[in-house]
Amino acid sequence: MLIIRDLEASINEKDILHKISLQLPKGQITALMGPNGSGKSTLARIIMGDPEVQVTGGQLLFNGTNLLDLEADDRARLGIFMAFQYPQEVAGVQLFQFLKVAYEARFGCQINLIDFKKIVSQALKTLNLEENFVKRPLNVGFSGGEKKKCEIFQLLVLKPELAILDETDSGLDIDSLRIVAEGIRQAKETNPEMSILVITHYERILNYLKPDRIIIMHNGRILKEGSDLLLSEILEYGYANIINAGN
Amino acid sequence: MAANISKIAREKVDQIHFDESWRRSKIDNFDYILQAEETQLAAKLYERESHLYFNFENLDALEASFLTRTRNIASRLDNLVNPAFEMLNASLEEETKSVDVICDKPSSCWINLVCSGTVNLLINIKVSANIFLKLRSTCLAGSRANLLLLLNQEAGAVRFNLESLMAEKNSEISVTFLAVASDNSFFDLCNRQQHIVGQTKSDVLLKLILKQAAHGVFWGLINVEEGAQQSDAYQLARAMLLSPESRADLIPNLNIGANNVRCTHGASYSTLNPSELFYLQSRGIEKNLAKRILTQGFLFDAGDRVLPEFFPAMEEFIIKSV
Repeated sequence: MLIIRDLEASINEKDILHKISLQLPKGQITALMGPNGSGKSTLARIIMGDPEVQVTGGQLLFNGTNLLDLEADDRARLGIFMAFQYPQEVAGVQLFQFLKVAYEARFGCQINLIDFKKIVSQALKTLNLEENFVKRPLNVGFSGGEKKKCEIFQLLVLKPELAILDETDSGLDIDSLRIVAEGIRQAKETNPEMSILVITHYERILNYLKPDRIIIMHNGRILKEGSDLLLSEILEYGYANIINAGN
Repeated sequence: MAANISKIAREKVDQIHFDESWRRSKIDNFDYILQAEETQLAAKLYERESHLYFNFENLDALEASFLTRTRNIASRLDNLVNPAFEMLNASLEEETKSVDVICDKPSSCWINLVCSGTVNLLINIKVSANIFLKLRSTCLAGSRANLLLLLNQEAGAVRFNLESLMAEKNSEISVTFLAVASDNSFFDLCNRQQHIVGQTKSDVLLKLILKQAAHGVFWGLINVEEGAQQSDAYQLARAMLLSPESRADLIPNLNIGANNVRCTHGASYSTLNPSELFYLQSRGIEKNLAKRILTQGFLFDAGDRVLPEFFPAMEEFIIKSV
């Protein structure tokens, strides 16, 4: 589904990623781990098309389409979604209305209010959120947990083909984490072909999501790929062992 | 002591700026602006002069003579004074009123509101010519005034003098001013919140969107007179600049003559936030639409201050002008 080939990138002329190659196949869950500052979020932002990151080399193909020529909104309409690590607060823009515009853009059609309300209600219920949650301005005054839930809520409504979850589990309490993971699991159940890239520091969310493989990044490079056995190694010895072995 | 110093300082300012010759040139310029066909030129002239408006004590006299002059011109030019504004020149009492005004000819008006009881007023102004407006709300004991001013300016120079006179105890006023100026227009709001007596509350918010080469000026003053204890005043001007050619000058001021008051003021400029834009685009919303949604959001953010009955008019204004 997504092919990353020799990708190089910089932010403000500082090189962040060095020749990253990676494939995200249909229906697979991939966990992306690594110490702080290893370039995980940068990689996510590149896939989504953040103009603040400059791609200096390599290829990025989504179902055969070259993503590097496209703006973020084009990529989203192709079915790429990113749950932000720090979701943006947008004053004066109501969540419901914003999401209706996004839905219509994503699927390229108008939807009537009643049908859309049904979709919204269903997603709210999955995440244990109140109906009036959507009447609030987008992320404004939301608690950390509410912001993360709001990202998954949008994921449920927009039904992407590739979902990137950038530290969605950070800052969530145990109950919220379970609800959020359940939401992601449901989205996957409705669309088994959805590919998920989970960026995380913790095993808790991976216990729920059961990734097909784990990738470790360090200093802008992919250091190691493996099964969940790799996870137990990280949990026991930290990243130091893998990094030392890699060097 | 502080009050004395400020009084002396103000007298100095008078001597510098408000001599007879300056006054004359000011009035002549204003005539010129009213008659100017070349909007841009008028705007520039007005811009050059506007920073001299700082003295507030002499302003009344000055404006009175402006007004006499403009009324004289009015007798020469038909419809100079907009009839819709004239309608408002009555006292409002226990009323909810909304007025739509189209200013497509040079016009000027002095609106005097005397607020007692609950007064809710919406003025929706569409401007494409030079106008000079003065809206003074005199707030009497027990009054609760809520004003929503919507202004869409496509050309010309607008000078809007907004004055809230807290004349009696236990009065409150809240003014929400949403303005969108485009092309080469020049928008100038002079806001004065005058607390003559204490236990009064005034709250003014300006949200200004400047498109293309529009230029916006906000000069605001909270003036708490000596002994007007427990005055509560708030003044905030926020401008959003949508193009590199647009410009805003925001100058909030405080002049406090009492020691037990709560007065806050602020001003901010912003452009569209790239992170917000990326967030919206990442959800599939096309760039130009995302920009429009964010710009509208800047105005909609003031929605909590607006009465529910005025909300539809505000919504329509925002959607049409942004």
